[in-house]
Amino acid sequence: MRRLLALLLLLLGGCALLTPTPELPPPSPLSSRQWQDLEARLRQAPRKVLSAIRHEAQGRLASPPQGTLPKNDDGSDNPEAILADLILHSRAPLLLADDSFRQRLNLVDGSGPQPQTAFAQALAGFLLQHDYSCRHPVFSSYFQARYQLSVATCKESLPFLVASRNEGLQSLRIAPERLHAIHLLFAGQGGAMASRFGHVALRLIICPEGDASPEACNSNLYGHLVLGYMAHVDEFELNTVKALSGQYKAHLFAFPFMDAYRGYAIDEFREIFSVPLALDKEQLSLLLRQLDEIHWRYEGDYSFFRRNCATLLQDSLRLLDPGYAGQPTLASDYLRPDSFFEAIIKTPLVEGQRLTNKEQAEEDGYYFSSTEGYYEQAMLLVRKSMTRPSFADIESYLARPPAVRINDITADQNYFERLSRDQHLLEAQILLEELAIFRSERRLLAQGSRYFHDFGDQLQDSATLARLEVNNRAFFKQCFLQSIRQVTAAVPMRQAIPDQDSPLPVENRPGICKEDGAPARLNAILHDINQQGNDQWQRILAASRLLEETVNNILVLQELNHDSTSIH
Amino acid sequence: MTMKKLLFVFVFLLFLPGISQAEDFETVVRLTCTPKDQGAQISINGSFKAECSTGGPVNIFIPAGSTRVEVKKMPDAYHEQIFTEHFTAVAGVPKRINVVLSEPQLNAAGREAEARDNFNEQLAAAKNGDIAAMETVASLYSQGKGVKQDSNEASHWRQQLAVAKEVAAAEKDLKEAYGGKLEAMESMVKRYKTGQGVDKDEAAAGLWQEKANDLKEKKRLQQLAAEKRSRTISNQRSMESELAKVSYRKNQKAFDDWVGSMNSTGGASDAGKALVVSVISLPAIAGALVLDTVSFPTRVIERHKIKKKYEAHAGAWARPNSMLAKVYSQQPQETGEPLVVIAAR
Repeated sequence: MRRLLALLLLLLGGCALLTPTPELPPPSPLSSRQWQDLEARLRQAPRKVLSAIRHEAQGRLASPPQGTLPKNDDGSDNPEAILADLILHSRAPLLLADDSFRQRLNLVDGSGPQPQTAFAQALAGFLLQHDYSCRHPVFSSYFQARYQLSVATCKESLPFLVASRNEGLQSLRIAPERLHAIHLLFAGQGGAMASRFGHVALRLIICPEGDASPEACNSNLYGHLVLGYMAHVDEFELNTVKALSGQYKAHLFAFPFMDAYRGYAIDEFREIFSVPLALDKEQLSLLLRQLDEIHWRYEGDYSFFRRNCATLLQDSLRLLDPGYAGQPTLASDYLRPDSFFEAIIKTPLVEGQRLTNKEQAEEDGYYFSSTEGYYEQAMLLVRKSMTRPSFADIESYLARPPAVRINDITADQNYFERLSRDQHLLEAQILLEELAIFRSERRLLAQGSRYFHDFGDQLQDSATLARLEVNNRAFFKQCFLQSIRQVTAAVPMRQAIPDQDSPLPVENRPGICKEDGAPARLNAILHDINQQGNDQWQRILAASRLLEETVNNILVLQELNHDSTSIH
Repeated sequence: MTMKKLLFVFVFLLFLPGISQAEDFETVVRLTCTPKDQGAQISINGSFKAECSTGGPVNIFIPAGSTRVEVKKMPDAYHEQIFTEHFTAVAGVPKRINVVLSEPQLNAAGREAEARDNFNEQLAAAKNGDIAAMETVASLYSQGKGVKQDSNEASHWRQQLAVAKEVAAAEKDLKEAYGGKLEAMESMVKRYKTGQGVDKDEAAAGLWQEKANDLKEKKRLQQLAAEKRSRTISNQRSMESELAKVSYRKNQKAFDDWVGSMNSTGGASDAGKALVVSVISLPAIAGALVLDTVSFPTRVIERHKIKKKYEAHAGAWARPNSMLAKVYSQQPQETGEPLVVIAAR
């Protein structure tokens, strides 16, 4: 038995030994002048680190290797490349990537470069770049901890690419002082497969400009952002095979909290829990910077079962939240978001007590109920108040066409008169129509997605474009096709957090697309392209008309409310 | 002799040159008039005593007690200028009064003359058919203001007033009836039949009846056409709605199939759970942007027209103390986006 075990160990060890190590590029030669210049710039480096680098440099000066060093474009020396090369070939333990670095590399880069190469480049940057802590806060804090250094805190505002439902992809800069808190956000279970275990993300409680009071910050819901790991579906319809086999790329996306609220609490009738991470001001600021680096750099595989929103967020918090490692209940990964949330709210890492009293939590913005009950309440009130209601529940209310709904309201004289007297009832009636708008938008989106899925290529082909008049062709490309490409294009990424002078990778739509007549012009072009009996296009028009009629219903109802300020 | 009596003798000697009446007095009142008030009559407690003169103040001896001084001047037969003062005269204490006459005002004769003039004026207007003047004349006769009270005349003018009112209403109806108002036409029919405000005229009544009938029929047909149009629109909308529903289900199929294969109990096939992919990805957000471009700027119109972001509305309505309620009540109205309306084709 012992022999067998020994054989097994030998085989395993053998396998490990036989595992090919990635080949390093050969060391480059180093001149005395190059080393002197470099050494002069390394005066601030930790003594032991400098000593290890010096040892490597001296060896290379004594017996110059073959090879060439990468240079700048103008042929001048690139000190950072020289230093990275020295670190890469040093055998000094102090200059070797450790597990902690590898984990951070994985966190920031996903399927990134070979660890030792990445370590050499990162350390060279840390030692030579004056603004390294602003560009690479994850690695900067790692080096500070490993070499026991203190680096000046970065004061720059932080850029984010925010994907907004109404505005598309927009860039935004947030001053760290405006961050009041970071919450762990959990959207409860939904009815669908993909949402049956909930969803977990982070919520940035951002204060309004010029007012950092807790009340102002907490109630600035339209300014709060959600940072969450999600798959980038670069097509108009989800490919189930790709979704299940992890072929979509995961990114740390940023989007407005109220978009998340709408998606979860209104569109899917799910409840939202939002509890603050127990961090002090300095820790919050650092965490925000580190999350920003991940936001700009991370790209990994998204797998619904193995690498999902919960597992990726746990990986992040494990490395970035200073108290996480000390929590035994969080030592192993939770694959399901609901299990993870259940476990973490019992730890001191979050202020779980905020959820003890749901009513209070709803007042303070830590809990957002599903809106299903609210709409149900509104429907029951409306139903009770109408003389002969022709609906029994929310779904049967919404199933009637908008014109029929408003006709039922205005034809019921008693009810119509009550609406103008009873503000609470009127708002209930308006709420149901607003719900109809939410539903219509989703229907429109479904029709639109199918249209682009079926006809997106055709819209872009040369035969279609050739049919257009020259000016219209350019206009169509700039103002329409560019938007399609934005959906299917890769997520804009950077190798570091962009500095304040760097242009952010958001392609602004040309001015011509924003002119007053642009939508009408575009609409006329699309109408011409689709005039030959495109059923899918007709469905888009029909869905659009239903939406517009529902808007008109609301306007009719708002007319009853002339003197009130709460609706207008 | 007491001190009081000594004082009175002194005052008496002081006032002596102006004394006009000296019997039964206990004190004296000294009135000073301005030169322009010369001739004004001075009465004490209703009894004429003297006239204002240019020769200086007028001293009048009076008994002690409540005293009302009235000075009156009549610039003409219908006007008077008056000064009055009440005081309590104390024995042995003289009283000085500076007379300041009022502006000329109507006296009783003047008021009567004015009422008479007003009546004559109103009577002339009433005779010219002025309805308001007729009402006034009837009232003046009843009260005897400006004219001798006469209930017969008052009654006569009330009858005139009623007739004039009817005629005026008939004129209004006729004008509106010619303007195409159905109620006015029907009123003219009644008037010509009963002679209310017009002379009885059966032929004219028949003519207006005919016109009213024509108009009623025309309105009925218009109503029918509107209802038919409304039904057509409603049917069309229902059809489109159905079409959209069918299409929606078709669109959902791919995802439902996946969900179905994973979850035998189903769960994502109903309309309320569309686009569940948004749970794990962002296509909904990106898709919405593109769709804004293609499907008219309905969403822009919607946001612009409704003015408020209404995601928080339901929470604000159902939970007035919630954070959502605070946010909903504090948010500014949406502004700045262009309103572009394009009709669906």
